[in-house]
Amino acid sequence: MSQSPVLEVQQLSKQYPSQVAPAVNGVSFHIQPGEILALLGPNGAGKTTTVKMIAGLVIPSGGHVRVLGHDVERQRRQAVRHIGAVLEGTRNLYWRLSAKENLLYFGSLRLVPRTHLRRRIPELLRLLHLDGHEGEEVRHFSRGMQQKVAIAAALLHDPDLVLLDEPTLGLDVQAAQTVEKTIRRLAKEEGKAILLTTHVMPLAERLAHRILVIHQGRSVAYDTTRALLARYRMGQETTEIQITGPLTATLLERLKNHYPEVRIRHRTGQVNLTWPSAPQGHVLQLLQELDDWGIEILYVGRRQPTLEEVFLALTEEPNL
Amino acid sequence: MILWSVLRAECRREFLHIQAYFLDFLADQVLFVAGFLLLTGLFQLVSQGEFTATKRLVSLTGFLTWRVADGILLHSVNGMARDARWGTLEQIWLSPVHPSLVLAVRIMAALLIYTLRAALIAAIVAPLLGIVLPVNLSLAVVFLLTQAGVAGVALGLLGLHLTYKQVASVGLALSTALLFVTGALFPLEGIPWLTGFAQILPLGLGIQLLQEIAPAPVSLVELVTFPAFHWLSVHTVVSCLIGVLLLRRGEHMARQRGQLAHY
Repeated sequence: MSQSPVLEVQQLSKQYPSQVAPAVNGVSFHIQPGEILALLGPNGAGKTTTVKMIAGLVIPSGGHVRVLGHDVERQRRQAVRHIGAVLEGTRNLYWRLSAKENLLYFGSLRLVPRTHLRRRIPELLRLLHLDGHEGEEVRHFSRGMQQKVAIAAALLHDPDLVLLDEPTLGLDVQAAQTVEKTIRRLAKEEGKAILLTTHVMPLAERLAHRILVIHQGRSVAYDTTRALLARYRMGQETTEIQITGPLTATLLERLKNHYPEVRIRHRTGQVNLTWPSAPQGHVLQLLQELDDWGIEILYVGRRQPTLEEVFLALTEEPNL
Repeated sequence: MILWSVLRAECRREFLHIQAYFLDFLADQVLFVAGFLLLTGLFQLVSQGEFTATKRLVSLTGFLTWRVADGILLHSVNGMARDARWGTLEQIWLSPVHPSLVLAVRIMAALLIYTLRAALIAAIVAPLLGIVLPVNLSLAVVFLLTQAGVAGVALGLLGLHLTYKQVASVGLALSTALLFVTGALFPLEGIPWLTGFAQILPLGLGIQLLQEIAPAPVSLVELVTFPAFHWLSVHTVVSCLIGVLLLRRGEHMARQRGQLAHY
């Protein structure tokens, strides 16, 4: 991926007048054509502010955002021609209009010629499995279908950069899968640069080529997904033990006192014990004690930490 | 071309909304028709039968001009509050067309739609009250110039909305006040101090001029010689300039504070 980036973000900062700490503090990254970057962070980390500064909806306090070389603040008109966005937590659509009418309206606002829109709309509806529903009012759609219409609206003008703020929020499994497939296809087949924010770590792990983790407005990790996971996997394996349950209150207390690092999850008829970065000798000692207490051990294994665990480690301890 | 494309999209969206909320539209139309008939009856009673056809025409001219202005003001402010709530406001800001232009075009669409709605009211009320409606180019020019000034005020209100949110009550108060103090219902000849005051208000000059030329239409050449026409032109330009400035300031502040979509 040696092409010039679609999106360049340099030392981006935002200090809201009403807040003491900056919402975003010197964040830099770029996205190449066909690349998906997942922007991760806990609530209030500055993800949405970053997305809105890229879209030109919030004025940065410092730094630059360039879309295909156009500065979003100084050359807004040229920059937004290349941006499509689905913003989090809102409808993004007129519910009393049909899917087609919404797309015609937003297409006109984005200056897509009407003749082109007549071809583009059925194409997008097909891509998002919405064909056959174009004449129905959006208010009758499920949350997943509404989100897909919002995505279609963001793609009408064939933007090079697509900003997706929590695109699978509130969607059922099927709708989330369609959205996921669409994102993958947009990047792979249409070469779009995609900035995705999400709290669904497995989704980010599956989709993103690179990951940027921000915490309290600062970038705490920025690397390819593979490199990031590999870095945190070295010597960080997680031990999983499954035992028969339920545990008595006394045994549970004893377990918590002796092994405070162990996470205990109760399932029907069994208990899962998870121990991140457990020293091997200590695991053997725990297994011996469980046996002494008369507990049946069903499974013992070690696995690599997931992106979720890496994310938790990064945001709990930014200096890791 | 851009303007036309956006205007067509806005008008279409508005018509679809009217279709979707048809009962609301119908009730609104009935309310204004009934309201005017009731007021005419009242004036007839108070003037002991002296509320002549000419006076009724003057009154209807003022009332309809106010109705269109009221529609533009309230529709713009309520529309922006709704768009902020629905997230569609931010989508407008993602358009390559400057947001101020999109909002101005929205106001133009509202002008078109509320003019049609006013024409519907006139079509019902005029035959019922024996009013002969004049068709005249000068009237149309003065009407458009008056509403252009109102559009400037609407842009200013939108700017205030972006800064302060929840300004619907300001719009409502302004609109209601304009009905009573601009002479929209009855000419202010008997109240000189109010005539002067009305002339500095957004709608006052326009309504006074319309009420003057509606019973005795004048040509465009004659209209240009009216000092009130010059003042109206200046008033409209100043209103639009102030409106655009307030909107630009509101937009900057909303983007600075990150509250474009707040409501």
